[in-house]
Amino acid sequence: MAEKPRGRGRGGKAESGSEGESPPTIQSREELAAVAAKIVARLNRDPELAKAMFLNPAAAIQETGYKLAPEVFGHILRAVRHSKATAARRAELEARLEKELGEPPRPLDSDWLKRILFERLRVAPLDTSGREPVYREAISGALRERLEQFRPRVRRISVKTPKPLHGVAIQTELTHRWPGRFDLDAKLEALPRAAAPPEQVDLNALYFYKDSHPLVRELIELAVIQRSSFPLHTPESYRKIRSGERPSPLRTWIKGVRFGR
Amino acid sequence: MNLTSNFDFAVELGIASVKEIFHLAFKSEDIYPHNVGPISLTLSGQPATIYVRALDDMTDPADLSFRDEKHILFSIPFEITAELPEAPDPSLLHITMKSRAEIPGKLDTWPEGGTDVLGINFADVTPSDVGIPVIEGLPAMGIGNIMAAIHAKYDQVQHTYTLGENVLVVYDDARDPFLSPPNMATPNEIQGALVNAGGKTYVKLTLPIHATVPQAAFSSYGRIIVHRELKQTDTTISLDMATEPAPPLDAQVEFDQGGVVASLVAAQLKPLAVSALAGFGTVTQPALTEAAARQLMQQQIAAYVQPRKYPVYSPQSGDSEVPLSTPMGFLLVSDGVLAILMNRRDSSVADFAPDNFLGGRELALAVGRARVMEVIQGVIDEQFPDLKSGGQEIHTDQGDATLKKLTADLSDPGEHGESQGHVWMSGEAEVHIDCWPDPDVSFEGPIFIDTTLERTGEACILTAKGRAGEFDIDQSCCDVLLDLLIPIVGWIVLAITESTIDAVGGAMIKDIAAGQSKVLAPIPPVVNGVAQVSACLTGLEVRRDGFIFPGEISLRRITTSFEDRKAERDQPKP
Repeated sequence: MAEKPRGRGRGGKAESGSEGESPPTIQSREELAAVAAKIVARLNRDPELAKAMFLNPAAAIQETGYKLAPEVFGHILRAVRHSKATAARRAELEARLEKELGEPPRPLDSDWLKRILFERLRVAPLDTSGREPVYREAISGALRERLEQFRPRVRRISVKTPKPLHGVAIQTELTHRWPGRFDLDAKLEALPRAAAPPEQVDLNALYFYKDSHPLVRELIELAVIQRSSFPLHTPESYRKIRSGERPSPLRTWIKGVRFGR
Repeated sequence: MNLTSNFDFAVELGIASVKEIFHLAFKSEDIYPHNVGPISLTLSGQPATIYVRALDDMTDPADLSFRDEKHILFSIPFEITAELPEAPDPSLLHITMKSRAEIPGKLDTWPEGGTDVLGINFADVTPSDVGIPVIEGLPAMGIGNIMAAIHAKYDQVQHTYTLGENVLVVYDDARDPFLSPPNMATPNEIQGALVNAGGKTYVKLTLPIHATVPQAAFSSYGRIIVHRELKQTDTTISLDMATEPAPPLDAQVEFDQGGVVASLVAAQLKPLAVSALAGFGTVTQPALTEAAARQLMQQQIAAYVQPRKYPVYSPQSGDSEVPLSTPMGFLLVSDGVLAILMNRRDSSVADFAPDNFLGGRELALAVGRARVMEVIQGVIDEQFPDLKSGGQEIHTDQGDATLKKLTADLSDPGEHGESQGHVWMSGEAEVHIDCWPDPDVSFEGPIFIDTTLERTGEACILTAKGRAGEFDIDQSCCDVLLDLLIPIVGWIVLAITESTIDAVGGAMIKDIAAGQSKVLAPIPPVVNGVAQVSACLTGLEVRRDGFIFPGEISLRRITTSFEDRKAERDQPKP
């Protein structure tokens, strides 16, 4: 990895090309670091291009007048997909699972999962119909205690009525139910066996096999990491969005991006 | 839209619910005894007994309309019966008048069980406030009533008059069968007719007679013809039988037998005849003009309603240490909405009515902008406690960032190009990217609150969920953002909903039910002494001025009606 640029390039190899010239190619992370200040300045002059960094930062950098060598292009995308720690964990899981399973893990692929789960690991199929995974609460502990101050203790009814009263039960979603919130330590009740493996094995179904085999838990963890990677667009998708052929997912929410402060 | 005026919370009910509460209250014998009386008073100078009966049935239902911000105009059928045992005309011994009275009831508050309730109070009603458009059953006074009184009076006076040896007998059909000679006069009974003369109304009476004058060997049937002025007040008509008018309306005595003797006898007997008629005295008949009848009804109805009041909205704290605020009511006349405001936020301005946010629904609750913003800010402050001191570090699998600023504002439908009301979030974060200068990202966008409603036997279940607008749902960044936003929005909705229900006097019906959620009565579950209230909240609407919770309401009588009491009396006793 290159050092974090401090706003000034160090070398003169890769300089943005003038009009009509083919763009200079950035061959290494060092060269990228050297011209980072210029790229940042260019991005800061063009707010829409700066926002496009959230579509595909490598493609956006190329729009500033540089060509990225494939290795640099890939390096940039890998760097923004995950935090450093998560990226390291992903690499660790991928390596370990490949070693154990004898092939690169593809835990978001239903057919692959089904084969690995029921044929390779010989896990018994379970009847998971109507079941929902257990999620870690988003609000708990001290935070929950602090937030309780905003909820009054609604008084109990103090009168008797001749007939039972009908009322309202208020339910709000306090936890976004997505795989990133799977509670992998939750103790699940024993599920009945299914006669045959399910047609599809998605992440929700995979969750119920977390205690069936030691590798399943790691498969789930890897699947969650892969699923929650930053949603980068392909160069083709990036081009269509920038040319207006496809609506931009950044038309709302991302109001402005400014680098280098 | 002004949802809660200078208060924090508002409840709006449609006029249909207000009517229903009134009808249920009106069915309560404790609140509205349907039969009042006997009331003793003097009417038309005579002792009278009055009975007042309030009606409300399918054929003649009571009704109400909103008159102004603070008054409901009630239209209640009343029957008022006056018994006049001394009325000369037997047909007037018992008069029943009926009218649909229009009575203003004031939206008022008073304490009940330690908590202020909002209701209708009639204490200020004066007789002149009671409108009586039409009176049915008011007896029309005519010559028939006067003659009935004369006939009745005949029974009370002597019928044979003497002057020396001369005898004058006055007949009235066979009312005195012992007279001698028996009645063979023409006409056979006392007859009367109204005559106008000199701008006055007279009753021309023809009384059948027989006269015997031995000295003149005269004996003949005949008649006395007299005119007596009819005097009318607002409450009576009277005939002074002793006052003889001037000729040509003075008394005339005629005999069947003609001739000079008869003429002489007639002239001689005239004083005796006038004297005999004077014995009838003054015949006074109760006779209410429409104005007098109206006044009587106004007085009686005002007296009937003055002690009455009934609650419409009766929150109960249930805890003397946590009192509820006094509900303040306003009527939105043209919209047919009763607005109830609670928790005065700003006492520096005079209370004023909110807008109609009921929108044709049965029930709606609202919480004002200031209160919602307090909760939103409070939850954000707790969720991101380091935000105030420079920045809140956020760590996700996708990367790390420092949240530097986060604000939320309420927005109406139409704002920011969104057709649905929403919470507009905006903020700024420094995103930490490995190997690259950290960008400052400013962001803004709508958060919608979607609701779904499910109904079970014991409750309706309102589920609310935050949704970030304008996101491609396939993007995994949605999950990361929603993972941050949904708990915040969920807690805000939960806190605001529960505090609204708590503040407007709602209560917990069951601890745990309906899928592990407590079941709440969103408004007071009882209208004191009138009805039990089942209600449901069916949605949540975000507006610039606050949150609106539309709902449904159903009322059920908890009182004892007249029919109930009648039925109880009819039950076999042990």
